[in-house]
Amino acid sequence: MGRSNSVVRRTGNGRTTGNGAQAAPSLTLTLNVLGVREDDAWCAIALDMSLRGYGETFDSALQALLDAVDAQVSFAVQHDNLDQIFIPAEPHYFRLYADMKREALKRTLRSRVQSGLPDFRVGDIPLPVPDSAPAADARA
Amino acid sequence: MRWREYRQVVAILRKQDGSFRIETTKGSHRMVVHPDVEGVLRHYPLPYHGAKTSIAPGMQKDLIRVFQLPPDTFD
Repeated sequence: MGRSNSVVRRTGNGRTTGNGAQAAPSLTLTLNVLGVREDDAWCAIALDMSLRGYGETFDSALQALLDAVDAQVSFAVQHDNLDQIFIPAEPHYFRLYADMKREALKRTLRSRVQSGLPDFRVGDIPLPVPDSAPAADARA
Repeated sequence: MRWREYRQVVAILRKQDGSFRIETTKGSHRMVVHPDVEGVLRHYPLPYHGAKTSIAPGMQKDLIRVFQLPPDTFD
């Protein structure tokens, strides 16, 4: 049972900075997220970071996961430890994610409407930019 | 493995290894930190809404994997 999603991080917004210089171009990073049912709760798992969020619904689990990712990334940036946060989840979660993506694609292609509530979900969520992330060099 | 309170999980970790420390982060998480997991700093965010916050078995399994703890740490 599960559901997949992805976490997206956008860094650099292309806006003009205070002194007129152009900020770095936008970059979007995506984390794959699988949602599974555990003990009557939804669990959203960031497959690339071995982080989890729990909630009564998939969306609330996803929000809890987003908070965890935010905390993890912010802490890693503060301690210059980004190399250590990408710890893959257990392999069977990757297999389940791939299966879910494939099934979702097949359902879409067949234009079939699924009846009842799904046990699996897939999707994307934005990865927040940590407060302490280094700013783009405006002098460039 | 069963759901445990946050304070129980932290107590088990500290009993396992006195090097574990807890740091506050922004938002509703506390960071479990170990300075030396095979020579590198490792950290893992646990949800925290008070000492009785429920920690799921899956998160306990992740703690075992991330910090390379014995498999029976939370049994």
